[in-house]
Amino acid sequence: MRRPDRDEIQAAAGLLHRLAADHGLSNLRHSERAEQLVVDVADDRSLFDLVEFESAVEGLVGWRPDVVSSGAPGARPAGAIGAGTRVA
Amino acid sequence: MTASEREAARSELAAAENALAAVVGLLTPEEQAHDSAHVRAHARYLWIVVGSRLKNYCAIVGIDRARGTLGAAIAMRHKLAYSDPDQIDDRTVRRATLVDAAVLAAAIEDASAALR
Repeated sequence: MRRPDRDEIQAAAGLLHRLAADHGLSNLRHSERAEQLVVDVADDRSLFDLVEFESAVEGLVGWRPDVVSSGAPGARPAGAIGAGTRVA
Repeated sequence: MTASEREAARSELAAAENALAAVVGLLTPEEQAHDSAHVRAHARYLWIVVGSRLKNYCAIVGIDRARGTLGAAIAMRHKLAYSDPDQIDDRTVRRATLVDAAVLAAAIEDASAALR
């Protein structure tokens, strides 16, 4: 499993947003940790959806982001990914 | 597949099924009323057991990369086992127990049936 750097995540912003929407994830943000994404998880979605999103990304671009729900106590969002995202 | 491999595969699926039933059992009204850190930690542990057993099953039957709900359970196991504890949103674990566990149980039953 290869983890991405921040530049790779930013370059794949469009893909990440599309796949995230398919899995009930939204408001993608960078994290203080370079390889992490912080996402909002819809109320009807689970950790299954989060890891399936990671797997879907890996299947397309060859790297696997470490995706963290914004509801996790240690989530540290650090700025929007790409254009058109909502950052609360 | 040899008879002993088939038996080992069945054993792993049975263990996964038992752990899955145990984590669903944590959602009794009494447990929900407490929603303690202990219950949440127990749920995380049981999901790790589920995923570990399914990973073992896949290794025995020669599945390099599981797909579908089995693949998700194995990936969830990796995330729970190797993430810092504060990187996990227990709400998403609970939702997996409420919604995904039933689908996974059916998949495990299908896999077990294929070994008979």
